[in-house]
Amino acid sequence: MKIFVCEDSLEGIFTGVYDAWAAAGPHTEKRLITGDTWNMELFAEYVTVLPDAKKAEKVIRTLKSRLGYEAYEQLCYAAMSDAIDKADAIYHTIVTAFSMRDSKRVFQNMHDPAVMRCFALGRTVGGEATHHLEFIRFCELENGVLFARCTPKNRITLVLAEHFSDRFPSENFIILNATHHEAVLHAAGEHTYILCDSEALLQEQPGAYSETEELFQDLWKDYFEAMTIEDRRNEKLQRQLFPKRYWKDSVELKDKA
Amino acid sequence: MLIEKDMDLMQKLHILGDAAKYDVSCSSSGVDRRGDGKSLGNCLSAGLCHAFAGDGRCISLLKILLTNECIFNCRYCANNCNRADTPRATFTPEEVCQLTVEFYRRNYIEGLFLSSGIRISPLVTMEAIYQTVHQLRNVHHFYGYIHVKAIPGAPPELIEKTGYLVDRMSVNLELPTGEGLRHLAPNKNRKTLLTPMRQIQNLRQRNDQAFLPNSGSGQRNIKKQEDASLPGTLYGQKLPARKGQWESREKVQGFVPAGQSTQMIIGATPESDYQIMKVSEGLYDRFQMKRVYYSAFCNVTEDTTLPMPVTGPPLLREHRLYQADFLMRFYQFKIDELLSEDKPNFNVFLDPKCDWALRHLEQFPVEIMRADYQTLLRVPGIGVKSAKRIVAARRSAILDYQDLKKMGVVLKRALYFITCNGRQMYPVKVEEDYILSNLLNSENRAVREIGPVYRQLSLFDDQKATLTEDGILVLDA
Repeated sequence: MKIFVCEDSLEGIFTGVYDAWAAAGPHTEKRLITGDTWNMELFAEYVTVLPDAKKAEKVIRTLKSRLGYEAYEQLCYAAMSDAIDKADAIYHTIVTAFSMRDSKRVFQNMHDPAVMRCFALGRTVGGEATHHLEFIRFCELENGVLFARCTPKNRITLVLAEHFSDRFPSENFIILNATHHEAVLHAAGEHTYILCDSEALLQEQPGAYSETEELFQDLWKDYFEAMTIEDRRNEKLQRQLFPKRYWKDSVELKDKA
Repeated sequence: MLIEKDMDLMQKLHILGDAAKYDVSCSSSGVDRRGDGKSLGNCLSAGLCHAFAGDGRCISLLKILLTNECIFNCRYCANNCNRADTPRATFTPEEVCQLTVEFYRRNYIEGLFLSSGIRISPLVTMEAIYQTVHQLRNVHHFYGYIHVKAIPGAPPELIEKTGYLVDRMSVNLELPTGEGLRHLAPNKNRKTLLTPMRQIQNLRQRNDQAFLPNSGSGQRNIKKQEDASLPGTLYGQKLPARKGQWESREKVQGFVPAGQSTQMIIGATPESDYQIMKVSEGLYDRFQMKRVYYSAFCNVTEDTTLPMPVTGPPLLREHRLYQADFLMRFYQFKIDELLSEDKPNFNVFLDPKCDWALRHLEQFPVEIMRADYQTLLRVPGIGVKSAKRIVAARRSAILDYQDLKKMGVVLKRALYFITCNGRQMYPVKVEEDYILSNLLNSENRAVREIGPVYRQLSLFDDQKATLTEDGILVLDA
């Protein structure tokens, strides 16, 4: 068994895919892992993979053309997951895809364990990403910048960046992912955004609120309370649809979290 | 009438939000509109729900009334003109715009849902709605989702003008029959409600044809049906972004691109489920509604001549109606298959699909590897997504029960109705009584809420469980 240890990033995983594919031996004898905490195995050869933009680029190009954009996107979602077996699932999904007559149909092949796993990972990440698009809350700072803080399990910063850059093109905003120490910075009128290591941001307070911020927070809280129909009160359903882990970063339910 | 002067924004929002909450529709789905790179906002065809209130209903749009002053006296409505103690308030267009934009920027909401009490006349009310939306689109350049009510009785030109600015429009049918409407809402009649519905439908159709000059309306309908079978995407249109005044891009935005919806109050009048669902089937077929909403009646006016059930609003009934509604829209069921004149109400204990399957056991079990898509859709425990996955996955592999489970099939329901490679999951009898008692024991919340059903222990598995007309479960040996 050859085990390829990759960096936990899209680039790292796709470089791992490239190296594992190029290595000698059958695919069943190769495995990919990410990160730096895992159990060592006897009788396995460990290969450390250094992320290489060129190799990753080649893999991405091939995936897009052979598997199609949708399948590629699904793999990217799987790669954002926090599961330790994600790199291996991605690799073996690609192996399965290339063994099929029509690689574009790979995600229909649900009987395959790696494909099923990738699909499940992608679905989990997609679900969390959608929840974040819905539940993150911005506050307006003194200088007019919108600031939001979130603590996702999976590394979904990129999805948030895409969505909110499209939605708020003329705003200056920051989305801080406190779990993965990343932030999205968006300047008004710019189509680009930057992901950076946000250790510095984590240390500092985001700054004072603008004059009207508290007014709008209070308006929202009051409105939120008023929307409940008492005859239909069903807090179990509320928790099911609006899971409690999102409450601490919200405005309306922060006090109850 | 209590009209306070100089009310601040907080009080107004409280009153007008509270007054709007009995309107059910809150979806922000049906339009896919990328941002234009300058204006605030975009739309996703699947829609987003930004919060869930204490009753578990989603808050997707800022749902408010423009005013709760009203000249009508609908007896179910808290804002009817005879209620002197209801505090009244009216927003200015500017206030609505400010709230919408500021809430939207903070990601509290997906857009605006603007309804209104009838102030002075339908014309004045619709004009005020138009002005507000016009200002939001063209002064504040708001690009997010907008849903407004078309006020019955307003001039058609005004409804048409408004329709080009918004994503969805709705006219509430209020009550399933004209009889009920006469009784509870003396100022409304069926004809004035259906007129704007028909107008919106006609304008939408004309608009659809203008959008696709090369495809006839026949093809368009096929596409609609296909899309309707996709979960989540309720026939969302991909629209390119445009600049400039909203009206000047009306040819691109189109007329009410996310379609129209309506709602009915359930349980205030004595209609049967069959009557209600027949009305709703008619609305989908003849008015091309995107959604029909059902609202369990809450007696907010404390009107003693209206039903006031001690157990609260008929939520389970509402739930069954929604289940049937989905069966109709996504599972190709006809209402006459689910209910009939002789059996006019849904089974309280079983969902309509299980109920149907139990009455048609001759069509089961279904073989997973061979049954066509339509047949799979009719199996309890298999939804649209899992049916699609099964059809795709069985091309490349022989499936087993583990695979089915991972694809999302609910086996505890499905196992009585399927075979996989000729085998049942474990041996079960395909018999109505046997399956019914097992289904009820394994999961049915309704039964648990109503309380345990006691019966004599028996060495032989021969008890019969039958439901009487009134929904009482009878077990006899």
